[in-house]
Amino acid sequence: MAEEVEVIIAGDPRWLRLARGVVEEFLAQTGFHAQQREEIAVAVGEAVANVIRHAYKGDTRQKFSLLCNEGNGAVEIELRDQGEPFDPPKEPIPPPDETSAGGRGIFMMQAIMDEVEYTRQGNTNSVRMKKYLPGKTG
Amino acid sequence: MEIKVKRDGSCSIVYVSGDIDLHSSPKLRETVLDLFRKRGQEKVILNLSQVPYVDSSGIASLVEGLQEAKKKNARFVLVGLNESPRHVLELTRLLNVFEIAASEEEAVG
Repeated sequence: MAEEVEVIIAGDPRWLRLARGVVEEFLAQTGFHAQQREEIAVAVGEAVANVIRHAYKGDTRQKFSLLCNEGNGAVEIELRDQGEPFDPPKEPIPPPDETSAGGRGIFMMQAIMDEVEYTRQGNTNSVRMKKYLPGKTG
Repeated sequence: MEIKVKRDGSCSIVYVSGDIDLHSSPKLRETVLDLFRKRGQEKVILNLSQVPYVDSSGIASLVEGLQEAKKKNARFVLVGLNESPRHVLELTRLLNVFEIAASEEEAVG
């Protein structure tokens, strides 16, 4: 991967906008058009919200890493945290029922990105989200 | 995010400005639910024309508002949807679930 940005951000909802802004700024250097950049930032915002809510359970002293890469016809955004282990869905999940208040974040990430992969190594959770540039495929 | 509420009898218009995300959605949820539960409003209009971004926690707040309105036989109307929030509602298959008005005047009816 050619380009790389890495920032470390506190797991505090106040910095959600900052995290999305970093991603949008990074994507502005790529071949994605405005609507795609916005969508990818939405997916990353959902992933960050999951780190804050589920991995760190609202402990705003904890920090996570946000890494952005471009290469091989795709961008890859990765979040790494040292929070609670996450048991990811094994298959693409369907959209939640319209009466359900929650459970849409992962659905949105999967719907927007081409690949969403969760791993845990040691005490580190990683979620890697890949999106192929227009005209490229996996 | 900033919220202003204009009440006129049994109808309230809620003006939201800024992102509705994990940070701000609890405040919106509380405002909307209070209007139905404590103020007994028959119609709540949510003006989102100054909202560039809504995440899944914001969507959850909107769904809760809609559920509360249905429980109370009241109406919950969205107006002024920008492109990104509209797209998120489309993506989550909720665009047709909400009552969406083309203008505030139409929503007030």
